[in-house]
Amino acid sequence: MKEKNTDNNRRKKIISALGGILALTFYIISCFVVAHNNSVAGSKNKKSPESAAKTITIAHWQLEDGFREGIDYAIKEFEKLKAEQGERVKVIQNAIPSRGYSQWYITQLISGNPADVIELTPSPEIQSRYFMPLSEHIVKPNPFNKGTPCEKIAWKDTFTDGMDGALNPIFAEYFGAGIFRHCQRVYVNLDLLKAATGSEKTPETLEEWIECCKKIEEYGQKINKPLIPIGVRGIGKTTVGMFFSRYFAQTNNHYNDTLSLFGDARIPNLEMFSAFGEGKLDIDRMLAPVEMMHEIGKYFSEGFTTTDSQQTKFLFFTGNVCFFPEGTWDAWSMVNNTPFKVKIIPMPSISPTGKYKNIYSGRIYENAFGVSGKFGITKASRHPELALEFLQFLTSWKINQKTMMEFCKWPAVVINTEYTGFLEAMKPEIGDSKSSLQCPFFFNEKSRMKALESIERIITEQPENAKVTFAKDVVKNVPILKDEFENVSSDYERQLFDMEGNRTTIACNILRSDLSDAARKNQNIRALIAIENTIARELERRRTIAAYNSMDKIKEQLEDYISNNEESVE
Amino acid sequence: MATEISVKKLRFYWGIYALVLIPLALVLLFNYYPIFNGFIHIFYQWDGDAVEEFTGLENLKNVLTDIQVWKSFLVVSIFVVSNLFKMIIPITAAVVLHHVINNRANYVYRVMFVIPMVIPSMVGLLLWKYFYEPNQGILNGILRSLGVISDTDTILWLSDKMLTIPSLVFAGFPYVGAFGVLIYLAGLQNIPEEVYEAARVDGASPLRIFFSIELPLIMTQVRINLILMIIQTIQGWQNVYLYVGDSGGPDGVATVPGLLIFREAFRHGLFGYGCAIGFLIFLITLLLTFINNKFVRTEK
Amino acid sequence: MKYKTKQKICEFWKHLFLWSVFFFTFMPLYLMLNISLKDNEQFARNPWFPEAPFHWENYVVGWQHIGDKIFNTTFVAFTTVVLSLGIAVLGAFFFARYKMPGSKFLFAVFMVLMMYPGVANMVPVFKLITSLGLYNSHWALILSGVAAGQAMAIYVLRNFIEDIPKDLFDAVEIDGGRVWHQIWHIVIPMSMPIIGTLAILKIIGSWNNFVGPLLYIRDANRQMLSVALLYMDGEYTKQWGELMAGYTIASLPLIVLFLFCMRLFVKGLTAGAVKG
Repeated sequence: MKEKNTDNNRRKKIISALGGILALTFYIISCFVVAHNNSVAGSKNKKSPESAAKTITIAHWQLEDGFREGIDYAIKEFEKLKAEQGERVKVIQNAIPSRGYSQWYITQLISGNPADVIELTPSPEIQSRYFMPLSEHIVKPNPFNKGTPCEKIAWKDTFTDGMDGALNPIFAEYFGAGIFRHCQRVYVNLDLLKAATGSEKTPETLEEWIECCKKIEEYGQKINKPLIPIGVRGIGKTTVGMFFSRYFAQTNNHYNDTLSLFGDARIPNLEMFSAFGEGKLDIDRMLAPVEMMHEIGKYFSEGFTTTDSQQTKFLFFTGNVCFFPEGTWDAWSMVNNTPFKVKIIPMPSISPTGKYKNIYSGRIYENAFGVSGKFGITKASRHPELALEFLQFLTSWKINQKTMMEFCKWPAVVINTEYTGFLEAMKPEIGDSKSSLQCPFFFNEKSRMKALESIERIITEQPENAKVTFAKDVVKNVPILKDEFENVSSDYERQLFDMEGNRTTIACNILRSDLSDAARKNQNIRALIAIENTIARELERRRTIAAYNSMDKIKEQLEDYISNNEESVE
Repeated sequence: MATEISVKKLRFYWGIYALVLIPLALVLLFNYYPIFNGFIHIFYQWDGDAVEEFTGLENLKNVLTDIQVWKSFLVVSIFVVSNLFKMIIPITAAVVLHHVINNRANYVYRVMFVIPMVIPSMVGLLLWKYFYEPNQGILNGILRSLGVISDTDTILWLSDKMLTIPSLVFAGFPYVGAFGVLIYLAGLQNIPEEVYEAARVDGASPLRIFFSIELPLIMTQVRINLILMIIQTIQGWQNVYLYVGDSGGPDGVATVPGLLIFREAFRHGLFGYGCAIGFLIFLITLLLTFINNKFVRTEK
Repeated sequence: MKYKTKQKICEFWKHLFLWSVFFFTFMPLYLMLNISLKDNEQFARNPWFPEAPFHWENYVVGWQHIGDKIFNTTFVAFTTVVLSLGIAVLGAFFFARYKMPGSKFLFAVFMVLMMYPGVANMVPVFKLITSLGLYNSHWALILSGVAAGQAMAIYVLRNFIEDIPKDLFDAVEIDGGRVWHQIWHIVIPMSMPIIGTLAILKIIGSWNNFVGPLLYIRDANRQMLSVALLYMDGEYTKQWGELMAGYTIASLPLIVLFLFCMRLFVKGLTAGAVKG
């Protein structure tokens, strides 16, 4: 008995000892792995900064198929190129899921130890505080474009939108460069379309689209399956906003020409409100998109206001949705993961000869926007020149095409690219108007959301007179708009106050006697930029106040419209 | 049985203070300094970095008038109450396990209760998140195969305003993952056999035994678990963050105070406001501790 | 006879109850294992039952995602535990063995912390970590973890050490052993069970810690397991099989650790529970 016990005890002791040894070995391995990772990252390498490779980190939230692989390829090429020039560099890619990105972004910028090249979020203050201004670099050609058609063109102009999308308007400065472009397309389940309409011809105009949708609904009833003609991702109201802005542009873009102040075919956003207040805009025409949404919205999926992209994609993959408007970022996964044929078509626009021919203003010009994936260089970066080179490398003519178009099947941002094969459908539309138009029914996030909510309601509840319903909602939102204008103008006031301090500092700097010529030249340039910034901001501030003052007149005009049109039933 | 060192003998024993110096230094640096730092920053609009603008009582005023803050405390009290009910199953399971006669089965069961404790809590939470997934999640899958909802329909467990909080409350069923069961079991095992004998002789039913004997005798453990649970629930926000992200669900309906701090500070950049909310949580915890000490007697 | 059958029926219900509890507790784990061997198509068709062919390569991909995070987490967890308990033992010894002037005040300093809600410190501690230059370093997690556990550990350890007979200490002291010998040769061996329990609790706590790594670690290759799992869940196109394989791999280390230490842990828990 006793022997068995001691045997048992000994066995238990051996097991415990084994466990302890296992744990210890695992811990020692972990220490080595951690140390190895630390040295690879090369941060705070105080001992031998020269021999260690210069390391920079690029961080983003694009987890889509192919993107990270594309960046990996660019990294390899860059490291190879640098090695040939005798420099040892290492680039690390850090992909953060979009869900936690905004918080990760702020924490690492505050920490003073951020990654070097980071994908930017829209907040302008954060951009100007933590990121390097790029204006002096973008007027020179991109050094990595040697040997390409873009060799002598300024870096700024090698982008399809001339880097307009990267402009931080409040600070009149460029803090980032985009590396991919996106536009909206519609993905069509061709098999389903053929079964319902008898042909694979995809609609090109809004009228044709409505016809197709009607046929799909009838077909669904015939085979007793709940078919959804147009699957819409409702969360965030992006799709609804996109539809609306497209139709608004196609009916009202002529204002860019007629109201432009300097003959450059564009009207500043805030001027639209002043023009509206002065009665220069045709309300009925501006409300036309609402009616179009009212019609096409009948065929949106049920409960679309709360569906997210995963759900709609799921319904599409299982063959229950015929048309799926979504960005080109999903193109590859949509076409590859479905058992049926998928065609990508541009969004059907209003036809110049159809029902709306009287208010047709022209197609939109897609190159003017859509550039996203803006990457900036942090001021706290340890190797800013290297980071700048990598950014230029990523946006160079050859590399940008290869990484974006080949690896993740996304449109590239550089000019003079060819869209062949799969990417042909993503060729940007060349329309008549050069820039987007601000819709004067909303301004910032809050009012925009309210306006889109109103459109969603119009779609789901299908009131008799859509235009009047929407006009009533806009009248309700006027206080919100006034609030927003007030906030924005006081923001500008605060910034102007800061700018004054900045200019004073620069002015004092210029007067210093101990400056070198180069430094004084630099200060002069800075002074000019500061003056430009100040003027730009003051102009915006005045425009905002003018917009604020127009709101009452706008309200009057809308109320007039409502009372005039309330009785007439469409 | 500590050796008493009076002030007179201090000069021989002053080196002993070195022992407590290390933990003290750590605690002062990582706990007390942030407490005071945080308290001071209540009075500033702080973006976490260089911009600090003294705004006086504005943050406190905003905290007290912001309906988001009070709603979040409401949500967290819902969680506290539901967690209270969630304690029933572990207690019952411990009692039942205690009464299982077969020794081998008892041992096997005890091992089986340990396993969910060791699974990283992240895995558990993410698996439940998968349960609630609208398209391919298990819950909707079950409902579809039972015919309760059609094939193209989905119930948005975590995205529907009405369903978010109930889903969060229900997640984690049957709640035996934490230490509860084993600790209650240990407490039950301390009940001497004679007490059971006496009760059986008196002809008490099992239910009676439970309520009159077992429950009071494991009350200490229950009480400790209760206090820990309340404190953790009031502070806790990780599971809400995991399920619905830092927006707190549709319209922020499931925001709890901790999540609010995280969101206001690290997403919107209002660090001073975050400190103010933290201070409010501290005051409420203080209040609860005070109530606990005054009205709930603890036996050592 | 009647009593025996009545007993048997009672037993049956008890077993049934416990098995139903286990069913619901283990169902998610079963599904996790099941799905980890499927690809997306098999999963969409039939997530419930195992189906050949089994896709073992999911585990390879899962390991690629979180493999080195396990080493990171192990390093941080073990270092935290060793440092935390080592330092706490010193503090507990101070309070248990000697009653120095000012002891009461110092002890209150620690005890007050036990009731302070940690979440209120989220913001200032983050600022402290960045000011100390510890951002993106594992030491941020280790040091904050060590500091956080001190109050509780010192309290529990002090209770335990107080129960050690004073004569043992005096014996060592007479033999010429100073404080260090007393600790090393008496305190640690005798409080092994409670130290073991505290260690395991701390390891589990550090393993599950998720807010710290989320805020303090920037680089993906230094990240901890908990946040890595969250990131895996945030992938754009969800590969369910690989996701579940990742979860399984993440659960294994602690289970293995536990198999070896289970007896120690349960014994320590019981002892701790009795002490209240």
